[in-house]
Amino acid sequence: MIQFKSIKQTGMLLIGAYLLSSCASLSKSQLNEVNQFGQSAKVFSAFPQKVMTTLVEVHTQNQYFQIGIIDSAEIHRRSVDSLYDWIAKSAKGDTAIGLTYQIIGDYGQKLVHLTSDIHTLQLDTAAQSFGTNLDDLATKFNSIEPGHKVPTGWGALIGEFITAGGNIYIQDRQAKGAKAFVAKGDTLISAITDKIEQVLQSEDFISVKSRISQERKHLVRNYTRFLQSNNELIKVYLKTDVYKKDKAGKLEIAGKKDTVVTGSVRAWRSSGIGADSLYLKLLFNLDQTEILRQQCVTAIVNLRKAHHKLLEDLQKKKNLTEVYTEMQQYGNSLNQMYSTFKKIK
Amino acid sequence: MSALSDQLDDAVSDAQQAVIDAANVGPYTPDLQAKIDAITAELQSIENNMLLATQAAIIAALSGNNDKLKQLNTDIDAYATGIDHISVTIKKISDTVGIVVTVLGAVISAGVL
Repeated sequence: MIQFKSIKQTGMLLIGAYLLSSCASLSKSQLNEVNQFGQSAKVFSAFPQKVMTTLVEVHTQNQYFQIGIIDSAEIHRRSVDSLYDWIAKSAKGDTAIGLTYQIIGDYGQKLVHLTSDIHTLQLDTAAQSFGTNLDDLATKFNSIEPGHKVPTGWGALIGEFITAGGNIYIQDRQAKGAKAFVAKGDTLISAITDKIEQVLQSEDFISVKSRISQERKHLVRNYTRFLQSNNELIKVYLKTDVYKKDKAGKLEIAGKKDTVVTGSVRAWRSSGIGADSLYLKLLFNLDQTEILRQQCVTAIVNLRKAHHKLLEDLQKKKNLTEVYTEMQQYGNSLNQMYSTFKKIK
Repeated sequence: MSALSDQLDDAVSDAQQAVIDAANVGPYTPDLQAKIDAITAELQSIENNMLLATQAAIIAALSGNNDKLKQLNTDIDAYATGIDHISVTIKKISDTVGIVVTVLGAVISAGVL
């Protein structure tokens, strides 16, 4: 049910919007600037999260090499159990980290929604339909009361009036909201980006940077140990073979034994290709993760600068004819991060 | 870096070195292999815990201001939804007029008017 108060209020707003049309607090280009910033902030969170996700994935697979050298069945199984626990706990941590980074993406999403064209499009559709329905009503009335004909065609005009006035009103509301929220957000974005920068740049023992470099050392150590362990087993086979050859003293038997041993060694070597390629993949991903970490540091600084410049631009009404430098720099950072992101397998 | 972290770092490095040294000495006796197994499992546990500590540190560092930004996001959302009330009202009026037109059409078709 439509309340008269609501209709009256809407009418007053439209008239007010016409009267205040020259006082819109931000230009259309400034609203677009906010929208553009929001779009670019939306995607940021994926990149720092990828740094931790990849580090966790590499660490998980690195443990295959580590556990592979454990000979004792009991300790080996316990280590596999430990890996299982690790996967569950680290996934939980990864999700929680994702949510903390996502808050910036959500902020971007809200700015996009605030400055979106969807509000005016919804009004245009509603107003157009209203005009058509008014004209239909006049036509029906005329068919009932031919003696008191009401002019038709004015419904569309009313619709256009509502559209024009409503759009001014909406843009004014968007502008006021954008100015207020970007001003409030600037302090928070500054504090949060500072923290992210610290987290990504810290050289503390448990920092991301230290963990990436440590993981690389551990990977090299574990893979070397894995290979040494396999070679020990190969040596045991070869010694057995030599012993039996000496004892049998017959070439045919030795030849048969040789075939078995050679086959086993070849099978080992062959499975080693899979291990080599896993090792290479993990090394590559770690190196890309370190590059991505450095790019995230640059990007977060650029994001902070772009937001601050956005706030400065919103303080004064002006027409923006080109993308501002800080936004361009932040955009470049995003492109670089995306390029590295895609390389991680 | 704190003194405790330094000590832990040294301990882990020593343990890593011990594994590498033991492996290089060879041949593997059952006793040496048992020690390698034990130290490898221990290292795995320490390294897992260190990375979990990294995750916890990130969450702790970032969650401080998150609640405030979350609140701001909620405020922006409510404000943006409020902007739509004009189109929602116009749509309601339009729908009502549409219903009146439909009813009138039906009444006229039925010959009541």
